[in-house]
Amino acid sequence: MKCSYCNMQAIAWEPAVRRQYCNNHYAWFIERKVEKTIEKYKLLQGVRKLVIAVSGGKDSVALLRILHKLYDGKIKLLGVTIDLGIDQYSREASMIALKHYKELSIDYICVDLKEEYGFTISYIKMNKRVLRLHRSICSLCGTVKRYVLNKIASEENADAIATGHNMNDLLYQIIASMISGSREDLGKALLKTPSRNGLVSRIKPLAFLSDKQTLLYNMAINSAFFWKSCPYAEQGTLKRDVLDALDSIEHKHPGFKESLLVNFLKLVESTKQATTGIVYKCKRCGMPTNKPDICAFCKLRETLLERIKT
Amino acid sequence: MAQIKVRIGRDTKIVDIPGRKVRLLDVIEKLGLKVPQVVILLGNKPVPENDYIDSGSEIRVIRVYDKN
Repeated sequence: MKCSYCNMQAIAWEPAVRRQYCNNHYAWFIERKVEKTIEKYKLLQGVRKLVIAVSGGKDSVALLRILHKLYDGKIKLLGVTIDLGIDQYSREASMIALKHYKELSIDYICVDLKEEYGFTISYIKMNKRVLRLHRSICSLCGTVKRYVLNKIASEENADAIATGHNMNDLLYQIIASMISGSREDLGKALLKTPSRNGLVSRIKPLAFLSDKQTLLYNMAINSAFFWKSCPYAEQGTLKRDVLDALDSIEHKHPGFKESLLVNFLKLVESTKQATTGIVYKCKRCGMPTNKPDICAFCKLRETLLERIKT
Repeated sequence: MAQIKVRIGRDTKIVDIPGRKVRLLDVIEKLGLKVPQVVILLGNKPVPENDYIDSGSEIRVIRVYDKN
């Protein structure tokens, strides 16, 4: 089958727009889609220095490549990779991220959790019960990553942090906030959260790309990415079931997920309170937190370090 | 009847579909999968799901979320 724009062999079909794309035109289609998202939602307005969170997975690698292609020279880009200390998994993923930084000549910082903070995600996983940590390992890992990224972005005077959250992540965030009934959670689904009280603005340029599109983009531009699931990823979660249900509808009605997200975002943005949750300063580290005393990261770290000492 | 050999992860399945040429979309549906969840490879190159393949062809299906 030929590409809808040229005579080359097609590699992808986009049922929502009823077109086939070859390697080059698919890359162009995806890059244009991200550029449109950035322009429509003014994601990079006033941004001179941008931190890009890169794990080495398909989404973050696509994000790095696209932002580099569209904005290199216009905005100062800084890649940040966190070695979470999940043995071979973290090492391999970090290596891929480093390979891309070097290939694109992008400045980067690689944080080793064990070296910088004295613990690893593996340590938390192994000792979760003893430490009486009741949250899931993914939730604890998220706390750690958000903290480290914000700290680096603050120290480097970055104006925003770009993450590789895609359409599925955002749709689930919206649905999860409806399940929990939390307005603050709903605010997290915004494509751009404002900077306030030490909390650096976060942007999600891949918000209108699906997992499949980022995967195909990497294949189209022949870009290496880390292709393994986290060994601690939980199976049979509510998220998986919700996304399966959404994919079933998308299969029958192409474009359903995108219009759902666009219209949800209109509603979320009209709910002003969604983003105006109070931000306090942590009494230990001075970083922003939604807790009035010490932040979730310091609390977790203190629990872990006490345990390591004993 | 067209016969398509499908490799998914470590499994290999044979899908029988009426006709000489088969639309990949029909193969996906026959396997109980959905378009947003899979990438189909013919050789080592992705192919659009609305493309047709000949009987006897072998394809590889990558489930986007499974990764492994």
